[in-house]
Amino acid sequence: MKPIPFRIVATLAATTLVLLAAPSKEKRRGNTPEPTAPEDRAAPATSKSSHLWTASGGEKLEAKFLALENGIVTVEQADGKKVRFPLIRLSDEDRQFAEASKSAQPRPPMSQEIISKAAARLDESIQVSLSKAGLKPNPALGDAQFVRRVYLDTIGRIPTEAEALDFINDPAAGKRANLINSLLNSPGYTMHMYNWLADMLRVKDDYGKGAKAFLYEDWLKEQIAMNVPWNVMVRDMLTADGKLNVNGASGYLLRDAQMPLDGVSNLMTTFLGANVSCAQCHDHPFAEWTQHDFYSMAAFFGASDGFHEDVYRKTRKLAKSPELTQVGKGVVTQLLTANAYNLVDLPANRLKFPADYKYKDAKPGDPTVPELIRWTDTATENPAYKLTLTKPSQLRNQFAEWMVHPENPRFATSIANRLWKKAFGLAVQEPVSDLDDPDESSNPELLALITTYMKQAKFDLREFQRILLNTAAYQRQASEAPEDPKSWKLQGPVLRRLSAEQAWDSIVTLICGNEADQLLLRRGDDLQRTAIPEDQINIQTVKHMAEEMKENGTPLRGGGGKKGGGNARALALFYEGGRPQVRSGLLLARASELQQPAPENHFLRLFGQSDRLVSDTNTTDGSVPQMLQLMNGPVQETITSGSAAVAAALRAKSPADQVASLYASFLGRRPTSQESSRALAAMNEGLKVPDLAWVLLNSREFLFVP
Amino acid sequence: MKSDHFRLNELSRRSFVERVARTAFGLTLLPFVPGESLHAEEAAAPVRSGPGTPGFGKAKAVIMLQLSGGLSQIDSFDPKTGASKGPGSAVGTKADFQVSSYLPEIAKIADKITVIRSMTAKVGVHEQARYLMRTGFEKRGTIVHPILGAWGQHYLGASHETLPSSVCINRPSQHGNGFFPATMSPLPILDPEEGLPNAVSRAETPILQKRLALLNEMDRQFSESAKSGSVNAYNEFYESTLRLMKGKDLQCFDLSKEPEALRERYGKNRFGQGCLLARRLVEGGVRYIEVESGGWDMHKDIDGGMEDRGAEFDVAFAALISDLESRGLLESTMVVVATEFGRKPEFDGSGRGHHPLVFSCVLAGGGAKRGYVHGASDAAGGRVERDPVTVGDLHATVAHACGMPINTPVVSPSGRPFTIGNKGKPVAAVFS
Repeated sequence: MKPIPFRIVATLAATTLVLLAAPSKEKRRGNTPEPTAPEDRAAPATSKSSHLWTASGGEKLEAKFLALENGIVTVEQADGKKVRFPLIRLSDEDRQFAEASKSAQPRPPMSQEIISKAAARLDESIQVSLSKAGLKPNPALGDAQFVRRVYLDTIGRIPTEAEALDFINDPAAGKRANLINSLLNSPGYTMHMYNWLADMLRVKDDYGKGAKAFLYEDWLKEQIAMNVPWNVMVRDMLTADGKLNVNGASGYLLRDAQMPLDGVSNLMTTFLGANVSCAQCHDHPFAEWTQHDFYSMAAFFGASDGFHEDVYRKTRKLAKSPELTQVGKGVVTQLLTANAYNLVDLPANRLKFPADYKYKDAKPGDPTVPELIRWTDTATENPAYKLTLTKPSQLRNQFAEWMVHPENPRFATSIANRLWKKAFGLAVQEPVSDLDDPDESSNPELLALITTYMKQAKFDLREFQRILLNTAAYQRQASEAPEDPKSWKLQGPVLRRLSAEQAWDSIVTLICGNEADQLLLRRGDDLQRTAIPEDQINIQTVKHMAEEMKENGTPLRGGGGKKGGGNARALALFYEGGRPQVRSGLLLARASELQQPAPENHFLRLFGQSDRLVSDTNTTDGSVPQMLQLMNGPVQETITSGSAAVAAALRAKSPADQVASLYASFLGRRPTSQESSRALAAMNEGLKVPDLAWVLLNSREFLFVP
Repeated sequence: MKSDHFRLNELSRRSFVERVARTAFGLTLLPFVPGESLHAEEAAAPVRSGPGTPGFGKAKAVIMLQLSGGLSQIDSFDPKTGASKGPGSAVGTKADFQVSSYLPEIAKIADKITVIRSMTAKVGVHEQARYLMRTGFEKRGTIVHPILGAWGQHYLGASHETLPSSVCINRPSQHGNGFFPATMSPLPILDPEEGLPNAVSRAETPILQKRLALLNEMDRQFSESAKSGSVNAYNEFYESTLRLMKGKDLQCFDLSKEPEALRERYGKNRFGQGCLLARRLVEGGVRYIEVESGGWDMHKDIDGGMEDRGAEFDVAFAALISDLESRGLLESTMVVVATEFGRKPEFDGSGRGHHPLVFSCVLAGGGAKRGYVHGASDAAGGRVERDPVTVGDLHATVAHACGMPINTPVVSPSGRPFTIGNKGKPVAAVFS
């Protein structure tokens, strides 16, 4: 692999066309104090002076240190642009500088003692519910099972042979806690969390007609890489201003800019577990949501405007203009459409009750009045509800303040419950998108406890997960998922198939080893150059822009394309930290660092990656095409014809060692003596190391987390 | 706001009725359960279906065309004048009804189809509406319902020895088997041009045999120790995949076997080629094929949308009907045009919003009347004027045409009884 860090340096020199500066964040922040985020976490030290960073390859970049988390350094350039790169790509000197800058920051994680106490308390609660039901917990996991599971749950891939064996052979007493800590602090954690969030937030490259959300994707990764607390991150998403091609944070709300009511429904479901989608059109048939409730909540977004049809029509007209035929319709829309996505606040709330409103509490066409929903009568005493409505342009901010408040009745519970599901395969209360009926919880005390811990961790998702992974409950054998989630007593995690992303990332690991953890996709920079003020959207600007991009060889499309890996080589140009290999048409980068979502016939989609149209729709169901892919497709071809795993096995001295090496690579364990002798017999009958690799790839055990 | 009291009451009443039904009457006599159907009065008695009733069992196969995102009824099969009129105009057809000028090819085969202009639903949110149209049930957090293809496999058995009984083209396989075993989920074909990729082993047969023998032995311990449903489902997928690989029918998935002129006639796009692939699969013996077309959510720019998506659909659907007819397959194949919901009569800028209250679907072949319009919307195209048809009714109609025993409930693994289309009623009037 040819390392080419700091691709940004090359492209920055050509950035002469940023016609619109990033919007000032001051406007919103001015009126919004940040009571929810303690200073030590909300803002990493930004007062540091600029530093000249040098990559191991000699490239240089001048920027301020922002954060070092998960093995990723985030820096900020003089123009405010943030850049992330893997720590290991820095010169030794700069690596030390980054470590020193980090330790100067007042961001201590929770102590191991606090983590262990919290984990023990959770185990206690689980034990009580098991005893009540007369059930015993599942047996504890062996080290081999643990290492595979914890790699998958923290950094989203199986361990390499060396990683698995290092852990299994490590005699240290606290080795499990140590491994959890080191994995949560590695780049793979950012990738795995991003996949998880991308399913939940419906992250998508393409917002339609050429508008790309690359900056939003970069922004999300930045947030995870800097370990920004969840409440701060969500607040920033809901209060962001500006264009899709200028401000990454605005990408969340702009995702639904063309259907803002659906957007409100989505965010209520995602962040609060409030199942309001029915109430958008009529009173909920069996929950307590009325259509009036829905419109009163939606009113908080009634002054916001995201999709500007006038701008959109202007760009469509230009695309058809004969003077631009040379540039091409596709390129013109690519260049311009994102300008129609611009999150702004108008002076008035324009949302009205719909024309077919049929209840007595309002008439069709009545203006809506913003009102926060209350789940209990005591809500009036709750500090989250203490807000005074000022001007309509501040409605969104006030809503955000209420939503991410630690005392919001749902915000902490919702994310804690979701992370529980991430670790255990099933949430304490299912479905995670609907927490309206507390009777549906499998263990109400446990739900209350994890809510408390989420608040105590100050919405630091990494610390919260550290608690869950340190429980005895997590470190037990898996059980079959119960048919009724409410009856789940948590004997252990539920038996899961690898998610699409875990399966793909594991395969990439089998092929390239752990190198892919250091390859970071970054596509937002070129996009910023397409931000054009409305009055400058004309033929001349487009021509000028197109020419300039051509001169610089800017690949605008971001490596999109319908076919799986069809444009793999184009996409390969967009990585910080090196250039990924392309083999059998497969771009060997982690799932988070590929198109979002992956093309429809990509391995990822076959194995259930969501199409990102609807939240939480990753699936783990089987299908015939999956089997065909594993038995006959390019993945098995690449693995058998020359992968890191096969090469490692071929280096082993004896056939028995070869078998053992493959077992460690694929399954993170040693073969039983029976397995070993059966495999050796097959080798005597003519099967070779690549054939054994094929067999292990196709084994059910490979696809599941026992 | 409804009270908890009300909700609990309703739930307990429901479970009481179910219990009584199971113990006293047997499942087939299950009375109407409150809140589960739009037809409180009629649903009490079993609906008229079964051998001898009009249209029963005529369809040996079903091709379901899903226009994902919400087809505007006014700009397609139910054109209006006045304030609701779209950018297109109403044009005459070979039958005695009109369609929008966006559908010139369909106008030429209108004498072979039944248009239902009185479809109605309550859900105006994409995911829920898509779920309803695919399964015939409203989406619930507690259970997943099967698509018609899985119902068919359950009631009528597998439609072929090695080919799957259901295939979905241009979409992944979620929304599939529902509470039936995972092996009844449809086989997804994501790109009709590629057909079924990787269907041929790259290893020589003797090597493949040895690999499989080793795989079976090595994996046995894990497969047996994990008695999980999901692991078992994977084992079964492996078996059916191997059957498919060894079978002789893989060429059904290969569009290159079709003459180029015919491929052009369907339209060289994913939907058009998907329709052609569907016809090949019907010939091969697949019972239920769904072809999805995306991009129908025309909030903005109905005109532009109908010019591209609309034209693709127009060409492909007309070609499919003519092709099936010329091969003598139309009478035994029911083609359904389905969507998520309709679009509002009023414009919002250049597009229209979601509108589940009234929309249009189409049936062709499989015993459906030719050149017929069922039901009507009001003058504006905003409400049903007569003969409302619910999505459940549509499902029951198709199932009836396939000869499924739609009055016989199935008990899900959680012990709840279900019937096709949630006790939907077949629309007898559409059968000749």
